[in-house]
Amino acid sequence: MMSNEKKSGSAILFVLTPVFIFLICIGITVAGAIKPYNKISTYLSLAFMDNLKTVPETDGITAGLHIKENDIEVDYDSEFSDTGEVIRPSFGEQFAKLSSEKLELDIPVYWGSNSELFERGACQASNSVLPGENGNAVISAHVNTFFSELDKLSKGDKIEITTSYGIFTYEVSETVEFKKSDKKYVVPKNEEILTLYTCKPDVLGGSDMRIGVVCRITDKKFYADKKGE
Amino acid sequence: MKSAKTYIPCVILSILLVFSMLGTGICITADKVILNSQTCLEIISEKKLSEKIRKLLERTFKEKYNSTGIPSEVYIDVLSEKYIDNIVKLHVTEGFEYLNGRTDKFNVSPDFEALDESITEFFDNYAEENGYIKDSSYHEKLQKEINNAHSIIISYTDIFKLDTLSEYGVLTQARGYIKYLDKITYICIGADILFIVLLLLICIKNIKEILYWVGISFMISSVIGLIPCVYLTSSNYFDSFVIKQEQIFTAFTSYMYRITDSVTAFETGVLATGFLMTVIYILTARKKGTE
Repeated sequence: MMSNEKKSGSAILFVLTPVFIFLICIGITVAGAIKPYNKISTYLSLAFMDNLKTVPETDGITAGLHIKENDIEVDYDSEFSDTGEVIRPSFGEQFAKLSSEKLELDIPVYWGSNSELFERGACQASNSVLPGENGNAVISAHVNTFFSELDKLSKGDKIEITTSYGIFTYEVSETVEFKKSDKKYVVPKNEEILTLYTCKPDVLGGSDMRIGVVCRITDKKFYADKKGE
Repeated sequence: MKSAKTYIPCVILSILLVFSMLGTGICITADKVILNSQTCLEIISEKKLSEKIRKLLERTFKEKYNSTGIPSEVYIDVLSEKYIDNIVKLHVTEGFEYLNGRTDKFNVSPDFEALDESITEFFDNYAEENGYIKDSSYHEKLQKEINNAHSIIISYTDIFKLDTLSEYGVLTQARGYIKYLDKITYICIGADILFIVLLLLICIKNIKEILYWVGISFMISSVIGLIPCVYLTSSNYFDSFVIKQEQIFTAFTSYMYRITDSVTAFETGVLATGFLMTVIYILTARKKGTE
């Protein structure tokens, strides 16, 4: 019996010993790995992190950026309201149309700025407010394509932004020229304005200067029946 | 295992052997895989990254046409796949030579002569056709475009981000630690041998017990090494990194998975060895019991 007791005791020790050693080792490893893990994360962040999540391209489609084309209705004939709610688009979504009678312009506007979106239309900075909200709505486009004649706009010209939640009309109040690094015209403001800008056309090569127009709201028409939702 | 006099020292030595084995595994992986430029060069060839980079450069220069008016052909016609491949590999070889202490500076200077000539020719032709005066402002613009083209190409071909790491001083810092890698490897291997010898001395009266202690140490060490590897591989952890440029994403994830696979292979070998030793101990202990 003693021998059997000793045997079973040995067997228990035989099994429990590796478990015991494993638990001690795993505890020490986890405690010791926290600091290096934080350091490695920092280095990886420096080298590899980006704001726009992207999955590798397959068949020419960048899976992470979802470009969504919407049919923005321009023939809305129901009731309007002076007040209403904006409908927040997602990054890469076409949420509006920008038109100008003076420039004979009628182009899509995408939410967010990205090289692919700039090929398709004008882009609104996603850190600016939506048309219809109080603040500075900032829209830009390439000078060689959609905003090639932006410099022809002058004070008093009308710009209309048609969205899925309403139509907003602006009037050019000033034409501006500024350096690429100067954020004065693209920062948030307390008044309801629209800023359109593009690169200053140069003979060849990229330009450090920007030209644009600042426009004040003259008419706000939210769709009363929330057609856009 | 019967006496506390031998049991407790054996437990302590086992714990130490676990960590020395882990250290050995890490050092060997670092030397043979992480700090071996061949790993990166193989990834570049296998994933055809140079071809991808050329396509991405072509797209970038086509997009830039909208703002610069310079056709993409000016750039891309002189950037053959082989040329791009050479620059990509130059980044890797120069970077790893520096990291491993074989050079004193990390400096990638590709030959951009053909590209510079192409851009200059385009500017000259444009100026002649449009009567543009080649004054100091013209030459400034030309140089700016040339520098811009260089930095785009270097940025796209630096797929392991060695330039960025060098800029932030990370490469220099890592180099400082890497010079001790050989010494640390020998210390770890020396420690492995020392702990096994000490276990042998403690278990001298029942020599077969060494198989048990070394066996469980190997198994525990390998399980600790395998847990993160299995997690990283099964959850496709590295695929969740937000990397905007496709070629860098591919290079980075392939490199990390390559390291993970190497560690997995090493630890699996250690686990198998430890398991075998434990099984032999059990069988021999049983045989002794029945005798």
